Amino acid sequence: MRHLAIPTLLASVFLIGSSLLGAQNTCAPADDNSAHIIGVFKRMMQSDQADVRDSVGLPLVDPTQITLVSDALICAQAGAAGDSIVKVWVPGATHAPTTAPLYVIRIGTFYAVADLSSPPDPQDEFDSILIFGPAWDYRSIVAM
Amino acid sequence: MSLRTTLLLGTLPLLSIGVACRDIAGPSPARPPAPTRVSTTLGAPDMSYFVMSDMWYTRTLSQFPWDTWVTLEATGSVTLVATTPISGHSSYYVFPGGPVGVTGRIDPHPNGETPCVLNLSLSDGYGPMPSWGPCEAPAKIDTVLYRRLAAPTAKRGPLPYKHFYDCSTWSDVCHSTISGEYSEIHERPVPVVINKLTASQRLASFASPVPITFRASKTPDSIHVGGAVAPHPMAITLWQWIGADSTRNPDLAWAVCHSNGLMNCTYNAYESGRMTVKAFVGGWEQTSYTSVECLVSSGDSSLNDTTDDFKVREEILNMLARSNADSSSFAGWNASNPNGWRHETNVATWRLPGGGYQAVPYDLPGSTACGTPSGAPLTPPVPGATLYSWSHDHPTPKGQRLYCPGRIMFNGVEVQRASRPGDVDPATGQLRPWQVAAKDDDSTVAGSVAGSRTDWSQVQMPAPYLRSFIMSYDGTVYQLAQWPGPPYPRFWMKYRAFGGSPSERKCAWVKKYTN
Repeated sequence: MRHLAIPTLLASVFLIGSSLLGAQNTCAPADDNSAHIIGVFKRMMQSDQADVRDSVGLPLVDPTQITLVSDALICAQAGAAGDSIVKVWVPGATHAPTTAPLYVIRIGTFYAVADLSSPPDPQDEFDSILIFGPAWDYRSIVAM
Repeated sequence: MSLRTTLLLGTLPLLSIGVACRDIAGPSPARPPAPTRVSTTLGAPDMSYFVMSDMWYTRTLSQFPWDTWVTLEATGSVTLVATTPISGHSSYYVFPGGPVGVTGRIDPHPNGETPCVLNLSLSDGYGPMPSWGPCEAPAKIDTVLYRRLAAPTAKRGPLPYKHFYDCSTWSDVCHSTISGEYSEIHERPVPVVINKLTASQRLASFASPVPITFRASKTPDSIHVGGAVAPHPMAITLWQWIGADSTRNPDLAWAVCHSNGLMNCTYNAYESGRMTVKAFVGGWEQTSYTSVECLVSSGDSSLNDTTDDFKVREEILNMLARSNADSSSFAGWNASNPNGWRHETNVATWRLPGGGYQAVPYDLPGSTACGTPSGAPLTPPVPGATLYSWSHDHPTPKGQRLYCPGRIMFNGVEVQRASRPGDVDPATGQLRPWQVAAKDDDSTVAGSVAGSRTDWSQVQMPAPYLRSFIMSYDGTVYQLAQWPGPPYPRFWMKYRAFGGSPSERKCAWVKKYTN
């Protein structure tokens, strides 16, 4: 499946991208949006949600390990990882320097990244949350 | 980001409310389907029968399974052909001929078989029936009782009495009719309609079995025929209780209320459900039903409105059926259906000026599994009605993929997402990304929320307060309360339309009825 090539490609792209960071994404503060996202992921850790975790590629973690990241470096890495996977899907994409805040949620050793400052799709009521593994390898997109 | 949307409410000023799921600056060019549902009214069909001019010609009319009052109108005439009499003919000889109406023509001959000829008469297995009036009188419309399984027969009367030397010295055949001529009988069952089935109570907790008496009735209840009052026959053919969640009730309704003459049925209900009665009345089998359900805990007046069998609940629940929530997220793509089968739907609930509510379903063009377009011009179903709530559903189960046209945005870059299974970007050869649906949520988890972030934008102040109901695929219904916005917490109510614990299932909402 062609999707399986993405993590490998992503890793190399990310390494390049991270070294070229100029303007970096920042961390969004704790607010209602972060509470919303964290709430959904905590719900996902309940016993009846194994199918969802499988679908999005998340491990079972203790809900206490689901926290909002405030570390600027990690948020910058999250932005770079997001940019990288976007470039996989849109090879010609160019990212203007941005310091836009991202909601970065640590889920054990995994991460969920939400850019809620980009204009939403007018046909979509759900937010798109990118899921990354411990090495910032892309796993899935959760709609919530 | 603002996800506020705008609905145009007829000619009312612009009302800015959030609607899942996009910004809108004006009315949508795509007008939703008319918010009315036309139901086909069925009934016993009118029938026409031809009775030919030949004497003793018979025609069998309709047969009904149960006694039925019917009006019969007979029209048309047939021609009596009478040969010119000869000298010495009988003074009773019927001459000249001419058109004969359905009540016939008098034959004065004392030896004639009947005093009336070529008339139409009516009878059934029980004997003669009224037949449009006396001989030669203008035909009237008869109202007759068709007995069950006894189709009446219309019969043409004879020709005048035959007698030698009336028109010939060698033949007594002096009269005839013209072949192919006929009279027409138009048969119309007298209209009677079954009334809305009534119940001794419409609300119950079902903590224990509840005896509920249902009563069937009809309108009109009787008919005046010839100055006498006669009841309209009504034969009950079925009492059927269907529990909303299952048929756990050990009592079978038909065993309790089996008599077709019994207009009442008392039934021990163990759970919410619908009693259906079928009755043959007015010439056809008619159906009526009523449902008995539980109050919702919040006391929301629209959900607890029993009018039209909890129509608001029914339409909210029915969104899932209209959304094809039970289909695969992979199903339904073709050139004429580019969004697949599964898609969100809407219901607008209006508060009526005289009290009560009316729920109007909407299937907006362009709806997908990810949302419904907004900007629909909503027209009140009756003048003076005000919009009470705007609901939508989330038909995609948790863990399943969402395929929708549109984009994912990250750091300002648009990524076209998969709009169907196997959607490959031709430029890269890569599968386009898709989203996976998360659980709508659960109030048992601290910090959790119900619905999407966009859903909350529609109830966030200072938007005009519109209640928002979200019908989730798993039977949960979320009612989002008006929200002042951060940092205030969000509040919502949670109901169970189906599923849940055994006690919740006893109060399942009754599904939309179709017959």
